[in-house]
Amino acid sequence: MTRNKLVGNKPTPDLSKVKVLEGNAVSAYLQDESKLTGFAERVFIPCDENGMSSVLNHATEKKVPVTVSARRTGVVGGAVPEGGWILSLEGMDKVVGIGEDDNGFYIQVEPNATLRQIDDILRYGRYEGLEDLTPNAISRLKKEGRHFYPVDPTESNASLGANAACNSSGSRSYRYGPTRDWIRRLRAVLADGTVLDIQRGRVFAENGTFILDYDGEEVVDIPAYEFNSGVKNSAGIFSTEGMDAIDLFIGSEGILGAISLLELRLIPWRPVLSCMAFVPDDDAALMLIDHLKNLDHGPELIEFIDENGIRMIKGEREEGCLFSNMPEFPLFPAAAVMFDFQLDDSLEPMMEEIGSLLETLGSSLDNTWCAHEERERERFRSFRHAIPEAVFSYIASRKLHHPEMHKMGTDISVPDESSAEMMGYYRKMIAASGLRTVMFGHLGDNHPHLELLMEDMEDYEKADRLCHNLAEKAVSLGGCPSAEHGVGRLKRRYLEMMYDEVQIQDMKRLKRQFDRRGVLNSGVLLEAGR
Amino acid sequence: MRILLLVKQVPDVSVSGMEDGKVPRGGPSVLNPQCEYALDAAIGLKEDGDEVVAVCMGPPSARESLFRCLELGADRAYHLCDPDFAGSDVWATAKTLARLVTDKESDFDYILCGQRAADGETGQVPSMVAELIGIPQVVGCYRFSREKGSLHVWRERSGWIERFELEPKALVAVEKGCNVHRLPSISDFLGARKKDLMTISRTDISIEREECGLNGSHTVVKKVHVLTSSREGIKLHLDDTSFAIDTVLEAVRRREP
Ligand SMILES: Cc1cc2nc3c(=O)[nH]c(=O)nc-3n(C[C@H](O)[C@H](O)[C@H](O)COP(=O)(O)OP(=O)(O)OC[C@H]3O[C@@H](n4cnc5c(N)ncnc54)[C@H](O)[C@@H]3O)c2cc1C
Repeated sequence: MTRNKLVGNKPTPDLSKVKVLEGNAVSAYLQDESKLTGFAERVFIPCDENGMSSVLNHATEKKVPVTVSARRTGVVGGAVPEGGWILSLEGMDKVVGIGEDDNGFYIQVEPNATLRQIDDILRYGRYEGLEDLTPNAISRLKKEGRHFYPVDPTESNASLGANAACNSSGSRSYRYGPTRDWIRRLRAVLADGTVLDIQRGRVFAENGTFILDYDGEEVVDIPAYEFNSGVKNSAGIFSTEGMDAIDLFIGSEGILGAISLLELRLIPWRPVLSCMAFVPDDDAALMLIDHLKNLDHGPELIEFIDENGIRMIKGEREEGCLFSNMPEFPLFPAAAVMFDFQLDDSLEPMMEEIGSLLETLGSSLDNTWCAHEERERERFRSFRHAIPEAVFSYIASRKLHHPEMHKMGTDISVPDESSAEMMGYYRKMIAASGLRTVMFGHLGDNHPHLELLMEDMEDYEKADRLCHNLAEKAVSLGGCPSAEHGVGRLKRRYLEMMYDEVQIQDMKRLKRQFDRRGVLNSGVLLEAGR
Repeated sequence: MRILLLVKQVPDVSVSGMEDGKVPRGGPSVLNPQCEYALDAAIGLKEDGDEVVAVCMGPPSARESLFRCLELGADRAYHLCDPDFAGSDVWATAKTLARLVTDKESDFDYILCGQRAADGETGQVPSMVAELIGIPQVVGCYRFSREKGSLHVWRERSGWIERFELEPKALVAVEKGCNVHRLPSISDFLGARKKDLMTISRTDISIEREECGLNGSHTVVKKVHVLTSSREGIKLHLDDTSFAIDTVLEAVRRREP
């Protein structure tokens, strides 16, 4: 068999086990966390891959657009329908089993299973009901000790299928990379119902093409551009010389196929020390981050919360809602840097070095919280999670007065060497806009989130311009304006900043080759229609 | 002043939840919440020159909880860890702890401990330890202060607040405290690594194999089940006292065999 051949298989359509919702019941499916609201005629809820295939096949025959909807925590409107049908994956949320190969253990999940589900299983050893995918895999895993899946998007209730479709990443991606690097195998259902089963390392592009073998062979051309992997990047279809076929479906936001099964690699867990350093201001935090990035045995993650963020947290806590289980900050006003180190022999000398730096920055190791017990580390995690949540709840409250408003924030990454220049540009532009902002996130990867706290529609216009300018600047520096959230429906214009017309046409051609009638997630990532 | 702090490590039910009233083992563990209150109390009472010594009996993982005590201000710690201690019930536990105190730390002023452990929920160990050592005890405390070399403690009983003044050599069981757990700093963490955390096996103290662990335990757990009330409650309207009394009497009469 040729190395670039993708063999498909089309099950016999059978809609009898697929649940269908119509009328008012549809309204629960029309929004995601961007708060963009769409419309749709019907919701189909399959309970297995066969059902997914039957729905998509039916849609292609009737030429009705279908939007794949998972847990709708996306923030770019990818799961928000623009008419047609919704394929909701809520009936497929099982963690199937554990297997083992030469690269170690892996876990198999249905698309709507969540990070939280697998974390729960792996952390507490709750393997009851799981299958051995290879002989004795579960008892072997128990014997080998705790393992974990290292990709940790903040929203642990998001689905793993969507994590794959959007190539999501989290704070630990600083050390471990995004979802893409951890997918061992996936199954994808194409628009006409054909199912592909792809294992990493088996099928590679040759001369820029794959051969899609179902109902006769067809040549599929991958886009001619080189996907920017030098920064965190979740915008556009992956493409590179000799690419693995599995990477077509990771990060392409469901426009080429809907993922029906995933296998994710696991690695042995090691104890870590989570730290949260408080320093007097943003500049001091940036200096600390620079230092952490240059250490020999660097941290697992580097996260930042700016002065405004810390002020917001303090305000929320004083009002008694969020963060009520956090002790008083050791320093205020302050910015904070979070970092995790493995608990080994290198820790002590490293901390001494960090301690001396903190002194020169006007802080100290006394002002740096740490946590090693599971429960305490969980507190740090929820602390980080609570910032976007506080922003979401603020925007939801403004939306009551301004229904057209939706959350506006950046998701921009830039290369290491441009990080300082980009930060200078953020400051200049924020000051010029006069808007209230909060910045937090993955500064280890030069990927902070800037959230705009808008009062009214005038602010909204300003915020929109600000985000646009920031995105343009990032692209000019070799960065990406959609580093982890994907493009969805709301950030299509960013795609046009990153790719020229020919490259976008390349993506559209590929999309057509997989989805002749353009029904699957049409309008997501690429403009709808030809 | 030397304060001994008796603590226990328990499964963290806040993350692992309960199954049929049983606490699942094998998940993450934490310092027992009421022991955390006792730790806060001990550190709050501590002045220059004082010493807080933490003591915990438990499997190897219990070191984590002692380490937390050291991070948050305890000066030294003992970890009673030996397969011979495994399976101890309240009696064997109290005996082992008391033996450590009399053998190694008889020079204490006060013993502080959590009122009860979140897993066993018996609340017996503090009183048993006090009896075995032969010192007075006050259980159920929530507030503490130091006045001229003695310890003042407060507790609430049936709506009354009781305050005790305790001369040295007394045991205090702590029931309530602040729910905002403190977070240690890296300095605390590094400092704790240099503190003395001594592992004690059975032969380090004067306790025989028959007296501790499963051998020394008298209770046997036959079955664990969740109690649910099958009786319906009755509603009383207290603005009409005689009617309320009649209702109660009637209810009692109806339940007679
Ligand atoms: C508070 C908060 C924090 C967040 N933090 C992070 C973060 O740290 N990192 C990060 O990367 N993202 C983050 N996100 C964004 C979001 O959680 C991710 O994009 C996630 O992958 C979406 O999962 P979902 O199940 O909710 O997908 P949905 O919103 O339902 O769908 C997202 C997109 O994926 C498509 N899709 C869904 N399932 C499939 C499938 N099986 N096959 C093909 N296509 C599919 C949908 O059509 C849609 O285009 C955050 C969101 C929130 C609200």
